[in-house]
Amino acid sequence: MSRNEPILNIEELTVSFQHPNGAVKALQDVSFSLNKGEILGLVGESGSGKSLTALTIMKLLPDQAQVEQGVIVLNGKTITKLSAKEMRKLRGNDVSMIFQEPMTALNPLVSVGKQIEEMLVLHKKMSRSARKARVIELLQSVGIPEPELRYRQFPFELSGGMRQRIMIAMALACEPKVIIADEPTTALDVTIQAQILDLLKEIKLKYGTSILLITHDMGVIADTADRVAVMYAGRLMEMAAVDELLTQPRHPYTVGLLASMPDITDEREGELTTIRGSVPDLTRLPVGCPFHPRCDFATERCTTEVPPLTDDGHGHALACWNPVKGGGIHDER
Amino acid sequence: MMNDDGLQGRSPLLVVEDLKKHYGAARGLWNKQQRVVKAVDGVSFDLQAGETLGLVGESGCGKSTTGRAILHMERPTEGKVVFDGQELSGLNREQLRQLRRDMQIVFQDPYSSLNSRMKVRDILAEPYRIHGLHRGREMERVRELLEMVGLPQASLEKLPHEFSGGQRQRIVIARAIALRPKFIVCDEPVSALDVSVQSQIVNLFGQLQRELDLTYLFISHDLSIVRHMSDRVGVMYLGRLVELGDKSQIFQHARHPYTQALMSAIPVPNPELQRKREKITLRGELPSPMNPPSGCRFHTRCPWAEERCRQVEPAWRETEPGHWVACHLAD
Repeated sequence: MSRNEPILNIEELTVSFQHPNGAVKALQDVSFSLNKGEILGLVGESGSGKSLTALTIMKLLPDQAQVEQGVIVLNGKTITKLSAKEMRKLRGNDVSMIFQEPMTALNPLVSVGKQIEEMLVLHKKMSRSARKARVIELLQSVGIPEPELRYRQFPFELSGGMRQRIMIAMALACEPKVIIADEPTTALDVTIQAQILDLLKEIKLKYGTSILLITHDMGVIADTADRVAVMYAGRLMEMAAVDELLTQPRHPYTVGLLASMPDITDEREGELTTIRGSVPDLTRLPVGCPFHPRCDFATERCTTEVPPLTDDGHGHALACWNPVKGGGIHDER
Repeated sequence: MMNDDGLQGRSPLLVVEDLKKHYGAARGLWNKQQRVVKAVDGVSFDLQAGETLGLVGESGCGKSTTGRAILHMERPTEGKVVFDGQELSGLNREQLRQLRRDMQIVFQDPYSSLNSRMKVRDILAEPYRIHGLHRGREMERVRELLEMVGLPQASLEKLPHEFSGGQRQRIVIARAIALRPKFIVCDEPVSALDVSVQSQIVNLFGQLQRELDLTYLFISHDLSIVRHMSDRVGVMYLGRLVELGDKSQIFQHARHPYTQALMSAIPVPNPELQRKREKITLRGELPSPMNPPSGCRFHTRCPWAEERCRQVEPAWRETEPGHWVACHLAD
């Protein structure tokens, strides 16, 4: 597989919202790329901009939102300036999306088989019988037992896990290069989550699909992602290969986030480590680094100048003036 | 009866015996037979004063209903709840209301559990007004409450929407401790909060427990937080407890295949460890509580189910002191 060859490239993306107090920047200077055949995890808390990034790529932004600057290149094609009609051809065909709540994303009045078939009607020239055969094949490939029977069923007749599999089948229907999965397992129970994460990994290996996996769960990231980007208050803070980011994080926010989460193997007693304060309100963002009011390492510079995202030459990018020394392999330099 | 072996000898603060909560489901148009959802179907445990019992399980397992039925927010269909020596089923509405000073609940969503038109001062003074306590000196107590949950005094004149999710949950907790209860049911109290704020609230629960000698029933689907919070843990599946024990018994020596699968399904934020962990993938989905499987309720998804598991319901038995399991194979 061709490694490090970007299929999706985002450069200096800034998105703002209209607000009574003026324009609110919900995404600022976000740049990253998704490589062919990889799963890139995008993590962050509420308001970090991770879902908004997905909606911007899909051109599904609400009316009040505006792309102020930035370029998005998908499979060699700049999609930032595409018309609504051109984008409609791309959506579902080259890039598709899986949402958190499959119940609200599915039409309750149409059988799930017909809903998947709709993707093929829109994007592929196929006979009716070929379409149906393809849908049955898709249902099978996402692990749905008795696909002939399920084809005729309605969303309410299926469990949450099954509905999410339907969404995934729909996203896969036209063999897109990129799938954006926005918190695909957050509404599911953990035993079902494990099944869905296995399915995403299988899709990556089997079809070479690139997946942008949006989540707030570092465990999900550790299980599924190849690389990780951490967002906070509309900015990218840190980005690296999954092993490096989770075991040798260097941004104080990433470090704090990981330290504050107990994990299932954790035998520590007593108080949990915390990050003081709360996630900032986007209408009242601090000057300088947006994390500085909560940061133990903040200096004068952090309160005035925004640190740019800089790569260390080894694929570990960081936006911080005072990164944590992790004792990692790059620190000898 | 004499019993002098320390902890075991203390009479528990809460005794739950064979608790059941069944709901009548809508009858079908042609099917005249009343169908019943057995949300909680025979749950028993004790809770000692000052301890935290974590209650875990997936959605629909009955953990929240158990919490509500214990408080008699919904009358149990069957079973006994004894709190502080009093059996709750025998109490009338007024007696229950009095008892609720000692038993409180904190819900998951701090957005819907606060009246959006009431200022914080009124939200926190309300419990005193309802119970006619500290007349004329309520505000003193309210200020004390704010201090205890780590909110600034300036919060008094504000409305709930002016606070972040974590701060709102602090207000909810302040209201829950206003009447100095002995026991609090915490129903997914941090699940709606941002990760960086969750740990603050978890620590607050711990700190208040030490200061006020509180007893918690901590209901959550997040086993990592339950492990951190609890002294003992109960695991529920389809309305029943399948395993109960102290923290190390459950997290290090789980005997029930469901407990083992549940724990192995939770990914840990360490990629190397996560790749090495032994995973038990469960087949299929949760069966309907309207029509639970015969024998052991878990047999349809259990990787080790045998013939007897399909036919005979496993007994709830103590395999070592304090460690209870309902499984034929846990020998």
